[in-house]
Amino acid sequence: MADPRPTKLIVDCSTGERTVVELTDEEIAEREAMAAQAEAERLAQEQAEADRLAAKASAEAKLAEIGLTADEIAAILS
Amino acid sequence: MSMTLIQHYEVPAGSGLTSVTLSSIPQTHTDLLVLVSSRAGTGGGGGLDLYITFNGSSSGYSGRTLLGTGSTVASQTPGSSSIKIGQWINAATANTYGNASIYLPNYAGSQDKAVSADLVAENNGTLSREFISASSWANSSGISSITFEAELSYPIQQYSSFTIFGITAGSDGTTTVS
Repeated sequence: MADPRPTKLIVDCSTGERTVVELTDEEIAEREAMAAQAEAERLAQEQAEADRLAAKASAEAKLAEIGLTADEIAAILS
Repeated sequence: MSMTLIQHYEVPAGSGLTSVTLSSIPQTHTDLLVLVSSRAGTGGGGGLDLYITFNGSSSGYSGRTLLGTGSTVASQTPGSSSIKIGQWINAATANTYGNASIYLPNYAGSQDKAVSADLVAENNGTLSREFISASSWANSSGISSITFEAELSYPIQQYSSFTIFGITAGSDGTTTVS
């Protein structure tokens, strides 16, 4: 059996009336598109953070290679 | 200052609601305070975002969010189609609900709308979600409706509740704690 069609609720604050409305095909498509956009933005942010951490680790390694101590590297990067 | 309950809604069993909209908000108060106790989820890992939009609009939003996960801290810049209040935890302890507080100063004015929010997702475990955000909505209309929606339109679970209060300034024209 197919899943029930998703619904949205509208509560009228002036009257207290509550109306449950099934989502239209356009609304479902819009939400799927927004979800895809949100997921893409989330993945991009995660990638940017991973790139930043990788660059930081690379910088720390290079500083260590030229003789800086761990405390000195931490002082520079803090 | 006075604080007036405008509307309270609790999600019933089996509703399958993907969003809740509080509409026809009176424009007679100074500020709005919105309290949310809710949960949505898939049972999987990670978190599930809670978004709000105003007046049915999907544009003009901007903001910055700080968050903690129990092991890391980070900041995020959400997209412009909604305001991200925070995240629920998909696999949170059974029967626990996240809670959020959202403050909307001068919500009925013609200036861009400021949105101050915080959210904590309850969980009896290491994984956690804590958010605090500063956002705005670039629109000259007063806020007359607020829509709450879960990421990917997952159903909002039974007993979730949404409460909106009107905050009215004192007779001296300022909002002060009496």
